[in-house]
Amino acid sequence: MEFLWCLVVGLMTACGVFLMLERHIVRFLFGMILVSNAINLAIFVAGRLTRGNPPLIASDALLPAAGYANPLPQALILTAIVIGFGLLLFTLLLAYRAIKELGTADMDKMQHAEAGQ
Amino acid sequence: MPNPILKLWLAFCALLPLGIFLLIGASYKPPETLLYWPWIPSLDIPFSLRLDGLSVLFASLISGVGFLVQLYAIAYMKPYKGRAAFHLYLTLFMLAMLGLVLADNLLLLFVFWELTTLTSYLLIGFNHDKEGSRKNALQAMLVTGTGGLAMLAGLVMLGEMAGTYSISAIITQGATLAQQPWFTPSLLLILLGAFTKSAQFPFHFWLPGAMAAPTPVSAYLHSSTMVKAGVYLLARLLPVYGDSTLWFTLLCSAGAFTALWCAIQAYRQTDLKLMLAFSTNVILGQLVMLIGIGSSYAVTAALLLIAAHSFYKAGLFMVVGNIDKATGTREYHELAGLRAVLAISFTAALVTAASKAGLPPSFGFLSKEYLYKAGLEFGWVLSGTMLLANAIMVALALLILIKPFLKPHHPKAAPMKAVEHNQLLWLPPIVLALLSVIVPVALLNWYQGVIIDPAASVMLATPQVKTVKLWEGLNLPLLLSALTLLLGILLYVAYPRLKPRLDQLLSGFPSGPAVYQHLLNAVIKLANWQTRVLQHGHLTQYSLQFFLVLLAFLGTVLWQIHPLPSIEWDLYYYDVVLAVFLVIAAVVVVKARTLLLAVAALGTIGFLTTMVFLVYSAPDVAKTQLLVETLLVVFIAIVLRHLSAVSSVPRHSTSRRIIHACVAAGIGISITLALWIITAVPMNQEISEFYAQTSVSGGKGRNIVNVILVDFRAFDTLGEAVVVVIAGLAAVAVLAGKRINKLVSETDKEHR
Repeated sequence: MEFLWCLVVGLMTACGVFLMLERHIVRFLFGMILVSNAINLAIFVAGRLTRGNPPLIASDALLPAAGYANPLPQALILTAIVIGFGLLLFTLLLAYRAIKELGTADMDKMQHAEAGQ
Repeated sequence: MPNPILKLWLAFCALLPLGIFLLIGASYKPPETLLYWPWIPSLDIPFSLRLDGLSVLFASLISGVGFLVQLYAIAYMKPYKGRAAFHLYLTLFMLAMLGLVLADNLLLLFVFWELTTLTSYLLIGFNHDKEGSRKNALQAMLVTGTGGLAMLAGLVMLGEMAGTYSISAIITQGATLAQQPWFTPSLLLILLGAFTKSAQFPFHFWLPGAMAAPTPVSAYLHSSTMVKAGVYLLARLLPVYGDSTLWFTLLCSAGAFTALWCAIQAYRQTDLKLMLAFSTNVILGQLVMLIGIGSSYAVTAALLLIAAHSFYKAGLFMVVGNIDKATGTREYHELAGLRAVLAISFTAALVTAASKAGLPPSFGFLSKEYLYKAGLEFGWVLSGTMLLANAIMVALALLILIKPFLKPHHPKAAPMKAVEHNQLLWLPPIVLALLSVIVPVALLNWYQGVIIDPAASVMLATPQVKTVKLWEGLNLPLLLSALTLLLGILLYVAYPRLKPRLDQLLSGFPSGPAVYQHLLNAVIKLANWQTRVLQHGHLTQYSLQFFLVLLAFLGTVLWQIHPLPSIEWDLYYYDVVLAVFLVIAAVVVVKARTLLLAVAALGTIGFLTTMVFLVYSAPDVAKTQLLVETLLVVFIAIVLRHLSAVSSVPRHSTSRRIIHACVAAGIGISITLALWIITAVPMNQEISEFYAQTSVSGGKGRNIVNVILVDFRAFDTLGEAVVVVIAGLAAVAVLAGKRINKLVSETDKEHR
C-alpha cells in the first residue's frame, strides 16, 4: 500500500513544483504549500504505514502493543508541520507586502533588489 | 611610527637575517640535518625542515643577501612613506622563502611557495598609489599563482604515487616512480609551477613587469631569491624526474630558448633596470637548462651559477638603485659621467659587471666555464645558444659600465647629486662585489666541501663529483670564453646601429604583457557572460534553474539504482478514495483561475492529509495538521482580498509552460521512485524501539510521540517554538515596516 502513497506524493510534488514556476507570486506560494504537504507525507510513508495501532502504551503496560506504528517519523512530521506553518505565514506576508509595495504580483517584475545592476 | 621605535624595528629587520644566517651555519652538519615538529598530525603533515647541501646553498643566500638588502633598504627607502611596513614585507618574504627551501614536506613546501607569491605581491605593489605598480603586482601574482595551483596538483600526484609527502623519502625512491601512470602528468604540472615562478618563456614577462617594485625588492626577489624558487624545486626533484626524456627535452628547450630570447630583449632595453631584469631571465633559463641536462658537470655549473648570479646581480641592482638616487633616472641615454659622484658604486659596478661578463678570476667566469663544459657534452646547439646569450651579457655589462660612468658629463645628461655619504647605499654592493671575487679565488675548496659535494649527492643518483678549479689550463671552454668576450665587445660596439634594426625586426612579435592582457580580458568576458546567463534578475528563471539542478541531482542518483522493487498492493477502498481526492484537489489548485477556489482546494488537501494521518495510526500528527491547516486557510482568506487576481499577471508562454510541466513531472517521478525504493528496503527500527521501550520508564509518558517531543528531544521542540516566535516577529516587521518608496525618498533627502 506504500506504493499508492508514493504515487500520490509524486503527483502532489509535481503539481506544487509546476505552481512554483508560475509568475503569480500567490500561485508560487500555493505551490510551496502543496510541496510542503507532499514532503510531510513522504516522510510519513518512508517510516512505513501501519493501520489502527497508534504508538500509545496502555495504562497497565510498559510497552506498546506489538506492531505499533513507528513513532519517530510522527515526531519529525509534527515538528515539520509547525515550522512549515511559520514559514508559510511569513512567506504569505512577504508576498502581500511585495504586492502592496510594487503594485504587481508578477515575479518577473520584482527586480527592486537588482535595480542597481 | 616614532623615531626610536622605528630605529629599533629597522635594526631588528636587518639583524634577523644575519642571525638566521649564523644559525644555519651553526646547525648544518653535512650531509644533512633534519628538524621535525608535528604540525597537522591528523592529516600527517609535519612541519619538517631539512638542511642539506642544496637547501643550505639557498638558505644562506636568502639570509645572507637578505641581510645586505635590508641594510641597503634602510638607506634606500628613507624618503618613502611606510618604510616600516616595507621592512615588514621584506622580512615576511624572507621567512617564507626560507621555509620554501627548507621544507621537507611537499605540502609544507607548497604553503611557503604561495606565501612567497603573496608577500612578493605586497612588495611589487609597494608603490600602490601608482596604477602600473598595482597592475604589475597583480600580473606577477596571477601568473605565479596559477602556476602554483597547477604545481599543487602535480605535487599531490607525486605524493600519492610515492605514498609519502616527505621529500627526502620521495628522493630515495628516485627514478622507480617513472613506471607509475601519473608520472608524466605530475611532471608537466610541476614544471608549470616551476616555469611560471622562474619566469621561463612564455611566462617570462611578469619578471620585467615586477621591476615596478622599489630597487631593494628587485635586488632581492628578482635576482637572488624568489625567481630561483622554481630552479630550486627542479633541482630538488631532479632525482625523481631526471632520467625522463620529456624532462630533458622540455627543460633544455625552454631554458635555452628563454636564455636566448630574453638576452635579445635585454639588449633592446634602454632602462638599466630592465636590462638587468631581462638578463635575470637569461640566467634562469641557463639554470633550467643545466638542471635539464642533469649531468655531474651541469649540476656543478648550476650550483656555481646560482651563487655567482646572486652576488653580481644583487650588487648591480643596488648600483642601478644608486644611479636612480643620484640622477632620478635609469635611462641609458640620459646618463653620463656618474663616476664623479658614484665613485664607490662604480668600483662595485666594475667588479660585479666583470662577474656578469665572465672575466677571470670572477665567480661569473668560473660558472660560465662549467656551463660550457656541461653544454659541450651535449653538442654544439646548446653551447652555441649559450655562447650567444653570454656574449650579449658581456655587451650589457659594457653598456652599463662605460657610457653612464665613464663618458664625460654633458649638458644634456641628467643632473647629478652626491648620495654616497650614506654608507649603507654603497656598503652592501661592495660586499657583494668582494664576494664575487673572494669565493672563486680563496674559498673554492670550502665551497666545494660545504655546498657542491653535499648538494650534488642529493641531486644525482650516482654523483661523480667534479673538483672545481679556477684554472684548468687551455681547453675548449676557455676558448669559448674568449670567443664570448670578443663577440660581446663586437655587440657592444655595434649597439647604436644594431638596436634600431632589432627593434624594427621584432616589432611584429606580440609582447608577453599584451597576450596576458588579452587572456585576462577573455576570462573577465567569460565571467560576465556567465553572470548574465545565470544572474539575470528574473525570479521565475531562478526558480527554473533551481529545479533543473534539483532534477539533475535526483536523476543522477536514481539512474544508478536498479532493479526496481516489486509492488505490493494491499489496499482498502478508503485508501484509494483518499488518494484520488488528494490528487484531484492538487490538480484543482493548479487549474484554478480564481484564488478563492485554489485556497478551498488547498484546504481540502490539508484536511485530506489529516485523514491520511488518522487512518495510519498518527492521531497526534492529525490533530496538529488539522489545527495548522485551519489557521493557514483563515490567514490566507484574510489576506486574500488584498492580493491581486490570478488574471492580473500574464502567464508564461506555452512553450515555457511545457518545459515547466516536464521539469515538474520529472521531479514528481523522481520523488515517487525514490520513495518507492526507500520503502522497499528493510527498515532499521532501533531508534524507534528505544523510544518505545524507554517511554514509560524514562519519560513517564504513555504517548510515545509526545514523550519524544517534550522529553527526549525537548531542545528540538524548544528551538521549533523559538522559530515560530521569530517568524511571528518578522511578520510584524514586514507588516509594520516603512514603505520602500518612502524610505528611498527619505534617504534622498538626507543625501541632499
